[in-house]
Amino acid sequence: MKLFPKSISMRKRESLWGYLFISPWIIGFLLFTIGPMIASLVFSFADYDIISPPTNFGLSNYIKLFTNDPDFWHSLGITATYALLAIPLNLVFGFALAYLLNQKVPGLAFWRTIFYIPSVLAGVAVAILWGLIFNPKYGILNWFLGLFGIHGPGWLSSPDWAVPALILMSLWSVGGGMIIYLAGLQSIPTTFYEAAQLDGANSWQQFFRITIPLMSPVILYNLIIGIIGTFQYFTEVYVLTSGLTGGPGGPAKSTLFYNVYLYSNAFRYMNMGYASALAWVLFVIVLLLTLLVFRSSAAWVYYEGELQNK
Amino acid sequence: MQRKRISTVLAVLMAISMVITACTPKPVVTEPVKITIFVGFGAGSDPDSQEALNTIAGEFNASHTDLQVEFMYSTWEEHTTKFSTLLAGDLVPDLAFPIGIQGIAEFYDEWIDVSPYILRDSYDTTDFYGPSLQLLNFNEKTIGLPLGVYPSVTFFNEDLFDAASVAYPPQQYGDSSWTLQKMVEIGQQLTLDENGNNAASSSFDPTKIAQWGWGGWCGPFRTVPGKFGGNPLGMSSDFKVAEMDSGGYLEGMQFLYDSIFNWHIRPSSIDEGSTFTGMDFTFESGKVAMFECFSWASYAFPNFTTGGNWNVASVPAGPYGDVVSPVNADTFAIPAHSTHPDQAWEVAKWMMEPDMQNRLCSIFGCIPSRKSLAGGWIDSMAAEYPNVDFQVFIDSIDYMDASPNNESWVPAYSKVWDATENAMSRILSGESSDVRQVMTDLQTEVQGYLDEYWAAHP
Repeated sequence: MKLFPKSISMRKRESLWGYLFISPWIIGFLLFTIGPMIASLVFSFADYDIISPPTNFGLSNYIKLFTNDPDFWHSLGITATYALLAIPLNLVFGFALAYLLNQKVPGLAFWRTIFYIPSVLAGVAVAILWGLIFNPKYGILNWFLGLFGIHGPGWLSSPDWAVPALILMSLWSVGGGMIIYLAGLQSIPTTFYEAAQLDGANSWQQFFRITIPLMSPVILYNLIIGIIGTFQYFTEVYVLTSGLTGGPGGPAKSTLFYNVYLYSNAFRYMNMGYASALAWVLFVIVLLLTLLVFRSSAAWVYYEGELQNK
Repeated sequence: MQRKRISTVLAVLMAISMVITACTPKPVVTEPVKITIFVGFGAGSDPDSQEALNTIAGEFNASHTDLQVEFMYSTWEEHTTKFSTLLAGDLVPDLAFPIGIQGIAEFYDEWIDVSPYILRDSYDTTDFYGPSLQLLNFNEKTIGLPLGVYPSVTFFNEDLFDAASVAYPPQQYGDSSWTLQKMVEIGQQLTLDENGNNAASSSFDPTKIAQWGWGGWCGPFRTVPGKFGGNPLGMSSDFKVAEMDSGGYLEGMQFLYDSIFNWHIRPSSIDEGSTFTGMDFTFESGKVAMFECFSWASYAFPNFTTGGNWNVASVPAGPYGDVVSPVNADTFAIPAHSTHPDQAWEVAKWMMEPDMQNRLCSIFGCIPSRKSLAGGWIDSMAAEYPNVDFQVFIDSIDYMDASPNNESWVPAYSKVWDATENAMSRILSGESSDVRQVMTDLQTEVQGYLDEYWAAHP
């Protein structure tokens, strides 16, 4: 059976087939992504409690957010602190692991698998697991510190240690970045290193003059993914802090990440309009940071194609 | 031609027969009305309860031709999201059951007043505990009838008392010597460090506590101010002015702080997160001599027994003589947008019948709110725990915080709730030692929520 009449040219028919094949995704994207995004943009300018229709359209949500909501700034500060510490740590650890696993060591496939597996585990399961690891009395972390005579803190129940604990936990998923770094490292032609060795370059010089520049596009990719990921941080902190006195974001609001605050507004305080405004501000923040990183990439990312064109 | 004529005749005959069929009166078959019951505002969502409730639904449906019931389940964690989505999607359930005071407060405007039904049917409420009826009256609106209540009592570990040669706390109300001050005094005798010194001793080491005299109050902070002569809601009666930086709120929070960091009788939240990991209540450990909690802790009674021989005592009086047993309750509520409120009321009445009330309370763990059922409840509990004086629970009902209740409605309900719990978290964790500052911060935050609410609801 012919779906398209023969009067249509072959090229157009192929295009139509193409659109037909991707139509499930396009329909899904329009209905379940673009549609809700537009709706949330509209709601962000209104008072909306989910149950009743939106009312009082205007800028009041955005005005309150920037001028009269300490929790907005508090949650943004916690998220930014987490991002500033967790992203560089993950970039460095991921790169270091990939570099080590790119060497000729026995059982390489085994080690690669071991380091990659944690990154494919679901967030809730990981959170529960780390809840046990962080247990001050019975957790393996404080047991390990105890071997060196260090009395470990109450990681999640202490307002001072909760965020550092979550930063430490973020290293659990370093395998995701590691596998991308590894692919990048393996794509660097060995001829570069051979030529450098002939020129008398030592290991450090090879690393900083060849490896880092050629890996910079991969670092850029992991940096952007890291920024987006940390500003969307929610599942683990929600699971780990829900049972504490003070609820999600506790103890004493020390883990009130931006998305935890957004979620509370949407589904606990029934301020869907305000939560939508929070979501759009987050979108703009992540967009600006991404653009900033892209803009800066001209100064530190090496693109082979660009060099060839010069 | 002949064939065409026959076809025409047949067509006319068929048309006539269809008209006759359509006009013939049919026997009236009325479909039974289906009442959807939302479960998730409190107990009832765990697998065992679901099975028991489905059995009850089956029995109801088998015995009724005009009404059918169906339970719709949600976890506690998801109840707000799920219920509001149902309301927004115009898929309003006909009943919310069981539902506590907090659930009612969260959706305060969404429930109907059932007092016209109570009046219309001359519903006899004389068998209910008086205070339990007050629980469900909100600003001249009666939301439901009390199915069961969960009063608070003092749980104590007899083994730890015996080992320290300390007399048990009184099990009858009316003993004027049983006060919070006395509780602190014996709590210090029962708090021991790793060397066996008690907290009243000068050689006591508060950094190495092995046993605590008191596990605290298991409820939210709003259960505390009433014991210190305050209003559990922490605001003026018109809900416009926050009153959290003074009176019962300030004194209650100071007591909590002192109990941990000055008297050393109660574990901090950091201790709770370490020493008592995996336990719902510190009392289960056998390392806590006393704690006050609601009767819904009954699900953990087997674990209490693991911790040693235990019993219950009355609630101590506060510094101004207030004896307050904070209470939770289970009731039903009919959503304002239910399409079958009359039928929902009939189903609710059926569930409130004494036999069914007994049965439902055995599922949810509540104490039936009818006085006539008290004896049966005590017998059933005593059969399992013969050494425990369950009469104390019944006696505590007279001291409940009925109006206002610790879960009663206030403007910006969940925001105020979270702010209050967060303030308590700052004290319990030791994040702040300046109680007055914590309460001043709370006062400022809550006043902001109230101002915002009243600006939007003039």
